[in-house]
Amino acid sequence: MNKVLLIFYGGNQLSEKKGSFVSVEKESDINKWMQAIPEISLMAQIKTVFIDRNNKILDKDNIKKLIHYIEDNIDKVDGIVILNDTDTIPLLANQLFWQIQNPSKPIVITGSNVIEQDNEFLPDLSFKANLINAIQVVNSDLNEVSVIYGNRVILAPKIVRTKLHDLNIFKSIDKEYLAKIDFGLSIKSRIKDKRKAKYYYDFKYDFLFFNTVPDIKILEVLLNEDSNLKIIVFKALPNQIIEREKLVKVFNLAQKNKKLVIFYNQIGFGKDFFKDTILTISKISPECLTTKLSWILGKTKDEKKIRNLLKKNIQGEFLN
Amino acid sequence: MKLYYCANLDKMNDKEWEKKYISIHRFLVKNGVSLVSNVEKKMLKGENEARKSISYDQIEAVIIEGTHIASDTVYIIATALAYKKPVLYLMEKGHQIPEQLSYIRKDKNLGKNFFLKFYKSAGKEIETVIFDFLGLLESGSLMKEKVNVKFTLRISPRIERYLNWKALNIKKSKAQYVRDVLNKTATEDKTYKSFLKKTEQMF
Repeated sequence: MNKVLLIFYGGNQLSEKKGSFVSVEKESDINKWMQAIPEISLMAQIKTVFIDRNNKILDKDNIKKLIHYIEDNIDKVDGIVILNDTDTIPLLANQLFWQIQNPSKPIVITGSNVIEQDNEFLPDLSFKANLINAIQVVNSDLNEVSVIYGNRVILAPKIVRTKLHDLNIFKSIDKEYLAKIDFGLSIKSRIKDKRKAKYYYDFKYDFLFFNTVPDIKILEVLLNEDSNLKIIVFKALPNQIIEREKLVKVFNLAQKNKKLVIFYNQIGFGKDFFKDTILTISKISPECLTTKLSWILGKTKDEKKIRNLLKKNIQGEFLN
Repeated sequence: MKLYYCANLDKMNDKEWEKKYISIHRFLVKNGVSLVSNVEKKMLKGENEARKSISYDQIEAVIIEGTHIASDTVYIIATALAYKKPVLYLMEKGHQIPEQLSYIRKDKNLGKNFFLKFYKSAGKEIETVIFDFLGLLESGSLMKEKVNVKFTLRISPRIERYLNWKALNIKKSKAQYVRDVLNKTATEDKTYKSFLKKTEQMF
């Protein structure tokens, strides 16, 4: 029987019916929780770990703690299942995708999607099945950081949330799945270079990610030269990309304040007319770009290196 | 009634087992069960389209021929039990119970919906076991009854007038009223009750 390390990081509310939950909020709750889901003990020997987040969501120290637990235990088990709140699963999955590269064992994330509606909490009745499927992913030796929810197993950089409450609340950006589930797992593993697993503990969020290009006057205030901010990313709307006069102003302002400007568009740019000035990045999910940038900033401050690493396809993060 | 039936596909290369797995499939189909099965994949020599569009939500139970346990059998059992679906696990007499199943049999909650049954390799005993299990499922005693069987009923204008009047009076839908009347009749039917009891005891 395989050994699985189950990490309680959040999103673990089990429920059989409306309004009644069994959840783990402290280490001592684990036993009761495990008794409520005996099915998982059929499939693997479960070792559990509780990470107290101190009510902080995706906090840097907590994520470092999580990476430590994974690195310290991964050789003792056949795989790791992390429970997390569904709202932050895409960001956590992507962060782990960058901080733990080429994992030697499967690292699977899932969670209970409890929704508050009309002053009551709607349980996630598919959580048990998701957890069982997560353990089956471990049993299938899928050595990736992946997310399982509903009938889909998604590679971290491709995940996107599409629904609030449904059988599937996530989809893959390019509709390619690591596995689909019906009465079994049909795994479609990707071709990867055989490299040793690498753990990175540093990541920095010294950048701003705008969903549009704001007014220049607002940017003047934000782009103060003395701030820690190093990079600004604009998820640009098409009309803003072609508004050259504004772009020149944004670029000049960034140059003056020694900041790097990135223009991001998921589908791509018709032509690279910002060459050597503004950096353009495309064909990557916003969560993946954000976490990749944070990983790069954890490694270097050198602008040239940042540019090169951002453009380089490091571990299959760019979409076809 | 919709069921998931699975067998160990690795044993399908063995003619004897292939024949057994297929005969169970045929027996279930012959008995009016709407079936989803991994065996079909081999029978049809390709991907089974039906398998893709269905999940545990839409089936009522799982039947496993598990004399030779497959690598994903425990996964199937765990998922079925998590969905509270009864599992009939069939084994040929003379074989040892797989170690993986001991946990289910020990756990009171899991054991409730797990039925391990042995049958003689030769003869029709396996069919009797399956038939009794289907009877048990149909009796509704294994799970909460779902109102999901469509039924067309033609009635006279006079009965319709009565139904309309009655539904309005008792503030229920016409369908619910008819269901309640039938339920009451079934509960009070002593002959039917003794038939159900006999089926359950036989299993």
